[in-house]
Parts: sequence; C-alpha cells; structure tokens
Amino acid sequence: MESRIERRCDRMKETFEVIDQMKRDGVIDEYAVAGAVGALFYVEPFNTEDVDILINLNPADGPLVSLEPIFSYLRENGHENLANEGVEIAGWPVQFIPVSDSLTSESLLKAEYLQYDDELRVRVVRPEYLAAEAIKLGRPKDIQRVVSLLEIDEFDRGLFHEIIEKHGLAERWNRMQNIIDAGSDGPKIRF
Amino acid sequence: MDTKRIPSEILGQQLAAKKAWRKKQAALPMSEKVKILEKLRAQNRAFKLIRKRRANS
Repeated sequence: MESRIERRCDRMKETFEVIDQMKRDGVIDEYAVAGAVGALFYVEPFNTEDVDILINLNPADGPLVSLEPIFSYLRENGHENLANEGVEIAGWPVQFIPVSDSLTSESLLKAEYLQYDDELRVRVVRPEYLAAEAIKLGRPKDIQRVVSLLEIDEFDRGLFHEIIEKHGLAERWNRMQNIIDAGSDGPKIRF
Repeated sequence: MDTKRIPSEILGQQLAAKKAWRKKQAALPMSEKVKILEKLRAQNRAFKLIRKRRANS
C-alpha cells in the first residue's frame, strides 16, 4: 500500500507540472527551479520547506513587475492557499521570484532541463549559478549549500569563477573561503 | 596515550566512506530524493511538535 509520504512525493511532481503548464499557457515567459530544491537536483537530499521558482514574466505584460497574473491564474485553477510567503501548489509552498538583477537573469537564461523522473523534465538553475546566489545571500545554510555544490563532479569551477567575477561577488567569495576548508577529502565548513 | 583520538588511517577511511555515500545519494533520481526529503520534513515536524508540547507542559 502506498504511504502518505509517497503520495505527497507525487504531489511535488504535480507542483512542477502546474508550473510547466503556466509556461505553456503564457502566464510566465520562462522559469527555473532555484534555491534549495534547485540544489537538491545535484546534491544529496536535505530538508527544505518550500520551492523557489525563478521567473521571467511575460514581456507583453509591460515593464512593471506584478505577480498578480500568476496569483489570479493559480486561483482560477484551484491553488488559492497562501503558505510560507508563497502559494501552495499541490501541497508545496511555492515562491515565485522574478529576475531582479544580472545574476538572476543569467541564471534563468542558462538553466537546463533535468529529469525529475522517467516522465517529467524540469528546468533547473545550473549548480554554478546556485552557488553564486548562495554566496550573495551568505546565510549559514547558504554556506553549507556552496560546500555541497562544490563537491559534485559536474560543477564547473572555471564557469563559477567567471560568474562571481562578472557579478561582483569575488570579495564575498574570498570571505566565505575563510570558513570553507578545501581539504583533500572534499570541501567542508571550518569550525 | 590519548584513547579518544581516532587514528588518522581510520578517520580517512570513515571520511572516504561518508563521501562515497553522499555521492551515491546525490546520484539518486530527483523523485527518490523527494521521498527522502518528505521523510526529513515529517521528522522535523514531529520534533517541532514534541518541543512545543514539552514547552507547554
């Protein structure tokens, strides 16, 4: 018999399906999974409470950024509960984050489709951009995320250094390196 | 002799095993990782509830 947890897992798939449908319906121009759930595509599982979706609003809507078209679309489709500063879609609090600077714009532009399961592909921010965003935020959980991302084989360190230089994060990265121990057995936080 | 100190050879083996386990976990399909995430969330919620009940008792 399927457990409650397994049923809820299928609901995250449903969350991504709703977001993909929003793109097909023209409510959002482009999207990419960012934040902790974005990182989860690349690293070992860890706890997180919500799903961050980086979005480009439809340019036809004009230069003013308003999330109202998204909320009204979701309300019309039965997703009207608010949770954790976001909208609950299929049981998951989802936060829509419009691109706001050069780093987020480029993160969205360079995002790639990754396999969720055998049937569904989801657009996800590349790990180097997730790490750069984490450096920008600099909270303890972001430092831990950078450490985890640095460990993965597909992490392109050359690209990562280009990104942090280009987006003015070199100084923050240098400060963060003081608490990251790049040991031979892999990077870890220095206590 | 400091009995608490773990010999570096054993520590190295432990770290290598941990790294291999993390790599294996990272390679799981996203749908499988979400199942683990849900278990972690359920545990977290249970701990929060226990802490709240203890605080209120």
